Formats: sequence, C-alpha cells, structure tokens
Amino acid sequence: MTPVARSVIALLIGGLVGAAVSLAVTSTSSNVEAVSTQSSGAMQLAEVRAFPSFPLYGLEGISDLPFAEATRVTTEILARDARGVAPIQTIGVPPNSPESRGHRMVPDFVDLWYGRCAPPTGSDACDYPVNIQIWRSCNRFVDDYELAPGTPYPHKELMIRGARAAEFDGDRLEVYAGSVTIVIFADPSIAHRVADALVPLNEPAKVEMATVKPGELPATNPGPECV
Amino acid sequence: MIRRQLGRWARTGAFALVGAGIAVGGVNASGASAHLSTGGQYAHVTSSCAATEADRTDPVMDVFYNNATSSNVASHVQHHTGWTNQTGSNQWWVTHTSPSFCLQNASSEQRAIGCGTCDRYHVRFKQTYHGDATWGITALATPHEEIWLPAQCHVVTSPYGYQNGRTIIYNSLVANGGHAFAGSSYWGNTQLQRQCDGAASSVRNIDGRVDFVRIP
Repeated sequence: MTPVARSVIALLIGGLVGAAVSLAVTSTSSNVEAVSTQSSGAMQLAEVRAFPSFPLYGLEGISDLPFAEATRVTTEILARDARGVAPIQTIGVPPNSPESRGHRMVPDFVDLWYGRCAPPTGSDACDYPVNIQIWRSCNRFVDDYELAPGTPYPHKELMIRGARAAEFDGDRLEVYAGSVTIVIFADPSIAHRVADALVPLNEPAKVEMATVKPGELPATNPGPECV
Repeated sequence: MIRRQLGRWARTGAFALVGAGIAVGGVNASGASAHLSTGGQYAHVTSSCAATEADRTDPVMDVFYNNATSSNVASHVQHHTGWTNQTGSNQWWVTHTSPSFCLQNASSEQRAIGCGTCDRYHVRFKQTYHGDATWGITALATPHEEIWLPAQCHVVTSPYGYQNGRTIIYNSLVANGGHAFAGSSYWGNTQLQRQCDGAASSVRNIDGRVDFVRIP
C-alpha cells in the first residue's frame, strides 16, 4: 500500500470515528441525552422536546407565558459546574437521614421557565412568573416530604385533570402525572392556571398521554424508588 | 407578577408535630396549639413575603429547635463556628401561617466569618412566631457560602453554596460541637435563586433537605 493510500485510509477512519463520537454525543433518537453546547445544563426548547429520559410537561401557546429558559440538573452537571471543587464533606454520618426512612431526593430534573423577565428593583437578576421543575416520581414524590424527621409535611390533597396533586401552603403546587412529579413554583393564582394548561413536550410524555382521556393527565404512577 | 396576599392561603387548622420515635431530648412544650410553621421555606427580600421567584431568596437549610431563641442561636453559632461578623442585609421571613406573619431579621440575627465585602460563610436566622409542642422554641436559618463581586454584591457560590452552608453548620455545631441532631427532612425547597449579578449566577438548595439542630 502506498503512503498516500495509507494517509487516505487514516483520514477516512478518523472521519468515521469522529462522526461516530459526534452521533453518540448528540443522538436524540436513543436514551442518550443531548449535550448542550451552551453554559452547563442550559437547554434550548428543541432539546427539551427531544429529551429522552423521562416525560416533560410544560406550556404552549399561552401568550403571556412564553417559554423563556430551560436547565437540566443532574449530579454530573452540578459537578461540572463546580469545576473540580467538591462540596464540603460532612464529618461522620449524620443520623436519622430521610434515606433511613425510605425517602430519597437526588437532584435529577429539568427546570423550565415561562413568562417575561421582570428584574426586581435595583437588581440585574431576571425573574419569571412561572418555574416548572419536572422530576421522576420515583425520585421525588409527595410521600418523601417531612416537616420534621418522621412527621409528614402538611399539604392539601387535590385532583387535577385526573392526576393526584398537592398544594403546599402557597409555596408550590405539585401534580403527580404518570411517572413524573411536576413542581410548579408560581403565585398561587397562576399555579392552578399552569396546571390546567400543561401539555406533553417530549416523546415519553406523549407516550404516557396516548391512552389518557382528552383534557386529562396520566394517572399517578410513581413506581418504586429510583435506582 | 401577581403579588401573594398575606393570609390568602391560610391553613384551616393547626398541625401538631408528633415526632414519633425520634429522640429529641428535653424539648420544652409550649402549648397545645403551637406548631412549626409550614410557610417559611425561604427568606424574602421584601415585607410582602410573596411566593414568587422575585421575592424569595435564600432557602431555609436548618431548623434550630428546643430553646432556639434568636439570641441563643446567635450565641451557639458564634461559639462553635467562630463567626462574629454581623454585616449583611436584613431579610424577611414567614414566621407563621394562618394567619401569616412576615417579619424581618435584625442585624444581630446573622453571623458571618468575614466582612460585608469578603468571600465568606454567612447565616441569617429568625425565631418563629411561637414554639412547637414537640420541638419547643424553633428558629429558621439560611446558611450559605458566598463570594463578593467587587462594587456589586454577594453571590452564593455555585452550585454547592447552600449545601456547603448547611454542612458547615452541621460540622461545627453537631459533629464537632456536641449539639444533638434530630435528623434531616426533605422540604422540597429546590426553587432556583437568581443571584444579584443577574441570571448568569444562580444556585439552589440542591436536594431540598433541611437539618434539625438542637439548641440547649
């Protein structure tokens, strides 16, 4: 084989390998999540729609609540944000953890913001009227909350569009739709309007919605604690 | 944004904490109707204590209990951490629901390891409106780690600033300080907090967890 031929073959192999890596990183047709090219965890709306890992619900077509931002949060992304600086370690093993009572909330969710930015007076921060966090119910569910160790967190039980829901003293409204917990942080008067307007955003959500009556959400089905 | 009206979400009854099976030591009972409020999951930046992203600020990471008057919390925190600085803005707290009370902490109700324009650990705390039948006199606290942006403001360290604050309190008062620890609970207060330098800095209580530390 001539040197030129070897070079051509090497280039072709390199190109194929590069293409394969690129597909592995950006594939949205499998269980691989898209890696955002923006700041850590930030998601474009297209990435939200292509999100493969669990159902996502949000808002569409509401003129005063347009999509604004989205963020993916996982322990891996948090570690990446920390740029090698680990959190401070707890000395010893704290007793009576929630996990000892069968509760577990690992940061693994998608954050969605809707509305128009309204900076508070004297601040450059941008606040939106609606923030929706979507967690897998196996990771975050109403039964995980405690006001104090061993004492359930008081809340008002509701049914919203055929799914179990809970209201937490004006703090937030949660809807347990199918396999996800939809946490709605908003003024209480807006929160219910948001819950009434939720639509499936990605394929897993559309699959869960496929057998649901029009206007309703999937019935609550949290499953066992996440692995 | 529609501002939350105080009392609109008044709860219909008091909640007495059971604390079943949890050894909490010599807790002072303070009345059958006293209860730990459920409305104070975050500190607030205005006296409205509105349940909005704009008005909420640092999440509650600790509940001090038993004899957690503000002065006692201040004494014990300062003793075990060595934090003496009291510089920082005063925030607002939902110290009771049904009816709702939104009260501001005083300068004496905070401690920090460093000056008001330094990188530091900082904690604000506020005694709740009344005690609890099981947990005695309680106080909410928002420890955090923050850095100073010159000529601007403090921003909580991303992404672990709130978690680090809670850990420092545990390590100082419980692990090294001998304070009793009743355990931790998930409150679910994971709303993102936009920092004062704009949307570029934002941090949250990652796991929605709150520690219960006893004040003798």
